[in-house]
Amino acid sequence: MTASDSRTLGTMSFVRRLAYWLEPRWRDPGWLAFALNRLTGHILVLYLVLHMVVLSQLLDGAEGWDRLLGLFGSRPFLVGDTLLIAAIVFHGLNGLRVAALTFGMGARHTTLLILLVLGVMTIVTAFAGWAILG
Amino acid sequence: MTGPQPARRFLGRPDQAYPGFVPDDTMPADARTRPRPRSRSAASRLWLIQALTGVFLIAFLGIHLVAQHFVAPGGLRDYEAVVAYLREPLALAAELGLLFSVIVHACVGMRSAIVDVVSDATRLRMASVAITTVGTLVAVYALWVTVSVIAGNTPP
Repeated sequence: MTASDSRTLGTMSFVRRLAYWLEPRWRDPGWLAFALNRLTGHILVLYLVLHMVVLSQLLDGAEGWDRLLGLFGSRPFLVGDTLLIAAIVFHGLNGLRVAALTFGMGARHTTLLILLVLGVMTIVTAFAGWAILG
Repeated sequence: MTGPQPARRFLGRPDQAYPGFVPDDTMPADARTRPRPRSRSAASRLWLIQALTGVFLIAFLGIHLVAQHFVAPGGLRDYEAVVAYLREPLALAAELGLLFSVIVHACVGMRSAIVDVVSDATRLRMASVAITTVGTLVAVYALWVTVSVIAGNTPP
């Protein structure tokens, strides 16, 4: 993105803006972290909606809830749980990194911090996968 | 004052900054960050809310994961155990804290995503109203489910 591009973004149509947002070329690590943060944020919002729907089964009493426990314990659900943990850890740690930037911390070590976030996410997800699926 | 000036709070990229701009202590203060605003704008208030609820989420989500999944046998509580847990005042406070933090954080985050693709002020206001309405309805519904379960207003 050039300086002139950033000035013309405001005049782009919705579709072109969306297409521009999804353009992966010529991006720096900070942008990739931003895009991943957005993506994981949307995934977590979708999960929140599903979680609310599922938790409403508590209104059906013990029978409704205990029927769901079987579904929660199924293999596809457990794999989804593991991926969800990856999204939560990345979103949380990257959020802390972005918050630290506001206080002038970490601006010169963006790439290193993003790699650190991805590294911790990988380790935590691997451990969670081992604990959940093992 | 000569030489590099001490680092100050980063208040955002200056308007004329090039993409990929990284503030540097050797730059003049007005070249490395925006000037401090006289009063908080709606956007900066929302950012603060996003940051605060994010910190609350880390704490409440940690409590939720430990209590509901790590401590519970098999990683999941059965119905009686869920009801007994929610009847503990501290546990209920933690769960409600998680609920409201996650809803507010999600609503502000969704608005941020919309701001990136919608530039029209009227449409943005409509989107904000829609997000606030949905967030409020979800919070009320979740609160109603929680109260019903605690009160035992469910089939045996």
